[in-house]
Amino acid sequence: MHGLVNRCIEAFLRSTYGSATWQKIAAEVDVHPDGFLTWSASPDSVTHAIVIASARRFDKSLGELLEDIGAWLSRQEQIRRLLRFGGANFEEFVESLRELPGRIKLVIPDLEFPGFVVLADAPGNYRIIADPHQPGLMRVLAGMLRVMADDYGSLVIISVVRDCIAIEIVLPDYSGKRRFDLSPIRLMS
Amino acid sequence: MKDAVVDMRDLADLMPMHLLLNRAGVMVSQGRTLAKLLGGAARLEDVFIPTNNIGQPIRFDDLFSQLGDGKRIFLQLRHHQDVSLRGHGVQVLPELAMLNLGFGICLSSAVQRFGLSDSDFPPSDLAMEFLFLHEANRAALTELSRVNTRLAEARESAQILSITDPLTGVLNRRGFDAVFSKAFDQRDKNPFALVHMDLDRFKEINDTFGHAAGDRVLAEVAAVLASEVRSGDRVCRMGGDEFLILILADRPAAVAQNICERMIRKIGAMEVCPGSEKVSASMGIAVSDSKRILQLPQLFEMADAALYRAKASGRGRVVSWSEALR
Repeated sequence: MHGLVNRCIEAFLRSTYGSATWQKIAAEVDVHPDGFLTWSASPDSVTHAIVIASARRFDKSLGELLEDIGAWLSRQEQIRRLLRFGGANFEEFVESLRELPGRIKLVIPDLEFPGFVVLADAPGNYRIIADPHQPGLMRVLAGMLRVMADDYGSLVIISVVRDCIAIEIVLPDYSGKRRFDLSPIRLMS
Repeated sequence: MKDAVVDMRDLADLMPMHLLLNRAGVMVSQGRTLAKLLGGAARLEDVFIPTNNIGQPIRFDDLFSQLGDGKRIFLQLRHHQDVSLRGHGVQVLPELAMLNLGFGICLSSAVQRFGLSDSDFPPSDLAMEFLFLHEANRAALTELSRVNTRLAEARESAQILSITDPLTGVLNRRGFDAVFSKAFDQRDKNPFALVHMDLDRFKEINDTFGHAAGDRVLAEVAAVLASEVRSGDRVCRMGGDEFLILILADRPAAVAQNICERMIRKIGAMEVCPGSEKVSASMGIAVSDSKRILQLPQLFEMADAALYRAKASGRGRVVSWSEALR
């Protein structure tokens, strides 16, 4: 797994449960307590072991933990902003998800982002179907989508069954959407 | 197709960064994004300074007459130095020209200055991708520079560890060799004294009071040595109870003699263990400005010979190398 993926899980655990907890998990799965420093890849089994050990420690299912990671990721301001470039409203955002792997590749060419397809079944109804080799990805993505739906102020029902996320946009403008300026800093002129 | 008619308003709708202007410089129509920059101005030159491709101002008449043939035009915003537009234009009628403009590399500044949003850019424009990349790159670089800082810190502390004696915190032999060979190369400019020291009857302390007590004595001795040298000087524990000291001075023999005598006094005054005899130290000095030195190991041999003489003549003293010791 790309170092950034492991780094993301580490950062999620540190910020949600504290560095001491991270270190206990790291010790349990035999990862250096300082965590992941470089972007160099490590075997997928390392990533899996961290996720499994964390879920057990917090008494969550793997799916719940992975959704938590996705939700946490979307709440990081830098990431949230990058995601908001996807579209002006939640519908556009979902439709632009098929561009996500391409966008990631532009910035971090060696990050292999697993494939998925977005299907539009009816207005406001979408399904996202994952590459079968990446069972965890849809859970992470579902967590991200829930947070982004809030960010766009939309009322959305999101459900995950195995490799498929079903999205139903109930009310696109349910509550106020969070502000998003194209420029991260606004000059007062 | 020659006769196909495109309504000017349709065309203008298609291009939010277009400008329609006449030969007098009056802006007849403008795209909705461009309008945000114009602030209701009537004439092009109220808002823009036309420039050539290297940024030098040119006359509006020249700009107007040069339009077409794929020629690029540049418009510097009068009140915002950091935003200039570039584009091209065609004369649609003898007195009327249409320009299509873009932000080029000034995109980020323009977005900031004028609070532009995604609806200000047509779908064909790569502005959003550019802004996304700009920000994503910055995020990636932030993460990379965090990595860099951590690696640099780790490297520095590893380097320090690799040249430090773990028991006493002074240089180890590897660290001293590096410092010493540099000093040796510069001995003509910066003369120095090399001091070889060892403790007298240290083995008895180890045997009587145990190695922990022995280690404590070594750490205290190192602290004394380190506190007595000046800031440019270096102390090294070679191993066991042997130390090396590098003292830089214009008159190294006299200065080193002084420093060594002080060190011997202080070491002699240390409280070792209840019931033990005092520790004492013997030292041998060799100086870099001796005429005969050609090679680095010679200095070590000279300091060693002086130390041997100090030991043989009663311990607890310092001896400087002289021809008599050969």
